[in-house]
Amino acid sequence: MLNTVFTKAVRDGWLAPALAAVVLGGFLVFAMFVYRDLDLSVYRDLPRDLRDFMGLGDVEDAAALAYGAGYSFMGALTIAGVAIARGAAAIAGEERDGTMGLLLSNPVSRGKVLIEKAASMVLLIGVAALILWGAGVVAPHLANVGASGNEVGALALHMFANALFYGFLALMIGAWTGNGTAAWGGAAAIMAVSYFASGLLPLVKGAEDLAKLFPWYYYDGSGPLSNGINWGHLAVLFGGSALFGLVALAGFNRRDLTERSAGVGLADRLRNQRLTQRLFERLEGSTRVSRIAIKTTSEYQGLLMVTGLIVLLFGVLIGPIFPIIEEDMAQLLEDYPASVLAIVGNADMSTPEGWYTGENFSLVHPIGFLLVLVVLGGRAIGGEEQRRTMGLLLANPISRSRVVIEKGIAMAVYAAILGVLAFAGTVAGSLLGGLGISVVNIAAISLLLTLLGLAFGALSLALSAATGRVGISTYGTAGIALIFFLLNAYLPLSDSLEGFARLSPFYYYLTGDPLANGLDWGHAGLLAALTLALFALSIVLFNRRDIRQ
Amino acid sequence: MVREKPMSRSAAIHTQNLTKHYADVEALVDLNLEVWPGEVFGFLGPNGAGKTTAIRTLLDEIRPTSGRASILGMDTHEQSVEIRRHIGYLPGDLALYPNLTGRDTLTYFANLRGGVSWEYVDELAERLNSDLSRKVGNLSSGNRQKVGLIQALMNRPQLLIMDEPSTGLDPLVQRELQAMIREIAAEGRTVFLSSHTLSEVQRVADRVGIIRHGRLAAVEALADLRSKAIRRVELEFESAVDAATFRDIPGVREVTVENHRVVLSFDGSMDALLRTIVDRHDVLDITTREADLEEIFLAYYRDEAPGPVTGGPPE
Repeated sequence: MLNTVFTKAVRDGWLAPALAAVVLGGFLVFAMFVYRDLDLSVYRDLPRDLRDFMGLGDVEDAAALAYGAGYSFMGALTIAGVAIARGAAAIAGEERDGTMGLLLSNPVSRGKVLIEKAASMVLLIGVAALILWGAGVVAPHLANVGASGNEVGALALHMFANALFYGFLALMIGAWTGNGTAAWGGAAAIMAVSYFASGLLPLVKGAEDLAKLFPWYYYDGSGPLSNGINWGHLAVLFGGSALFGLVALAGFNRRDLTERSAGVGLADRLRNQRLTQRLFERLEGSTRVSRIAIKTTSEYQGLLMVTGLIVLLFGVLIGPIFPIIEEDMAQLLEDYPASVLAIVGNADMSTPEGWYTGENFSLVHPIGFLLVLVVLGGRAIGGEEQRRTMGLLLANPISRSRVVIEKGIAMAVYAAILGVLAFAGTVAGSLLGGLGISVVNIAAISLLLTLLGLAFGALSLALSAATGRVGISTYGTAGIALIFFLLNAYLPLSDSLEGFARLSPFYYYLTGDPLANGLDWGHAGLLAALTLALFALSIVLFNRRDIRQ
Repeated sequence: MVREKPMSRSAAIHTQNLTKHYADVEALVDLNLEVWPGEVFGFLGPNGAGKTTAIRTLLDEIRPTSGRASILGMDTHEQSVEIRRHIGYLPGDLALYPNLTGRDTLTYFANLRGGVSWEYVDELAERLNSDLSRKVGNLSSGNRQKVGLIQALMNRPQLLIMDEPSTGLDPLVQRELQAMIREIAAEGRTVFLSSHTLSEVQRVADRVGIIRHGRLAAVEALADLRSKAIRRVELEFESAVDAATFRDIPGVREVTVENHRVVLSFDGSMDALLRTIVDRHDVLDITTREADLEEIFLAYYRDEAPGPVTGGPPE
């Protein structure tokens, strides 16, 4: 596997796409079993616009519903996320690791390195798409449901093209800048904006066509699951990927390689500006290394700042949109009893509380919180071991327990900051839109969200403490979180399986609709207890083992 | 040079049958070692011999499979936090936080450790010619090593443990470091340094322990080891010579002849060697250098260290 740049890149990167595809495929089978026994008429009776908005598409049969739930949105987002990770790692990641210089000291051109890395990404994402396709074909047979009329192959091909688009985007940014964070952050941000714009704009009268400006439209705008392959849309995505690839090639060939060097963060830039120099010297300098927790909080400022800003902005912006579409939404929902909507797994989107819960708190905010806290938890112990600073840190008179506790404090600080931003954004959005959502309830849901994030951050920390490996901790926790999310979202659809949703931490987050009904102290206490238990476990696990070198 | 073990104080380092096995490798086998207060102890061995494994076990980074160790009279596992108040540590293959400046790095560790005088830090930085204002990630490996050295020295530790401290340092700075090490020992503090080159150790150490395949092969006072030191002597003659004419000279262990050139492995009296050779041949040129550790080791400890030939510990 080490014969070429291409095969090594495949060897280094196969795990995440394979895991993602297997988990998603497995979920699809599971979803088919769940939907098989449901009376689907309630879905069929939902208005088309609402179904589209919920990503359910045509509800021909249980299979279509499962494809819509498992693949159309969740699957596409996951596979695109994996592609972004590969694209960012291709050039910028190798520079960050300090191995690019060594690699290029061999008689291979930069162009060849880039092309082989890009080819490995195409192969890995392609195989993932094939697995998804395969699972999509097999699942209806396993669950014994009819699936005729569903073009799952077309959906898989659209997912593949969509993922490549963002993967190549990340590759391009990384190739031009040599900055891995900019690569994945930029591509992920563009993907998120594009997804929401293409989903929301069609709901706004007169702005429907604007959705075509956003690449996500070319993934599912044509409804590939029911309508088959749209070659024109695929051409846009593949063409974009090819263009990004060419621009990446040009960018990588023309610039200096970055050394493995200290990143220049925003704080560093401000420290070097005359106007802000003194303030930032005071803020930075010795204060940020005064203890482990504070140093840790200073290390992920960039991630916190970007994610925090997104959380805040979504909170603020979602509010004023509601009055614009309220009438349509209300009209759509008028004829349908609340029980129908509950089945869809979303709160009543015709109320401000339901709108905020469905738009922000059910997915966008948890993704943001989990991203930051899972990364922080996974790097807390494993990160220091990976960059070989743990030995030096532990040569000081501090116990391993204290290291875990300090890292935990840093994580709690980050969670609290994000919680406050989610709260502030939602309060501001509610005020701007004149929605009149209870501030107390906003605080309640923000607290639950903070605790949910901390629970998964603590899980990541525990894995990190047990293994010392960043990849296992972060990807492992992300996978577990995805499974729990899906279990909580879809188990309640089946009467017989409903109770098992309680096994998922997500259950204790939104069940009972806290934005409308206020805090369930029991749920909050459970999430807090889970977090503390995982912290305690982290301490035990870290104390037991050898430090990696 | 060799100090007697003071009876009143406990050993700086004491290990009892310290053993560390990884899945398929015996990284360290029954290490019994005593390092006395106030001495400079050189821990010598080829790459992969188990030096770093021993050091990491002493620091409680990894836990022994069996056996135990104490530092300054305290158990390395049970009292590891207290031990670390009194030691300074420079890891081999040093890694630091790339986004911190040298001064930030030292401040961080000073905050965690306590008892650091900034005057002393500045003095150390000046002696080692280290620029503490730059980010560690932008420093060359030698300059990064200096930051690592300062952090190890800055709290005036009772015991200084250094794994290959000269890595990346230029000769001038190496000499300064050696002077510092002697000063530390003169203050009654202890230095434990590992190395794979004898020359690095012999300028500063009082005693050396030689480790190979995870086993301690010998502990020698440096003066004794030096007396055993084999030299490589290269001679160039005006005309071709016969190997046989060298074999009878006392102290000659091996002879290689290439036409006009002869290479000897030699551990006898240099005076006797030169007199004999000049009597027999016309010498054009002579160079002599110390044999490297491995040569000495092979000469003296081959039979005592029958370790496995394959596989080193995962350092």
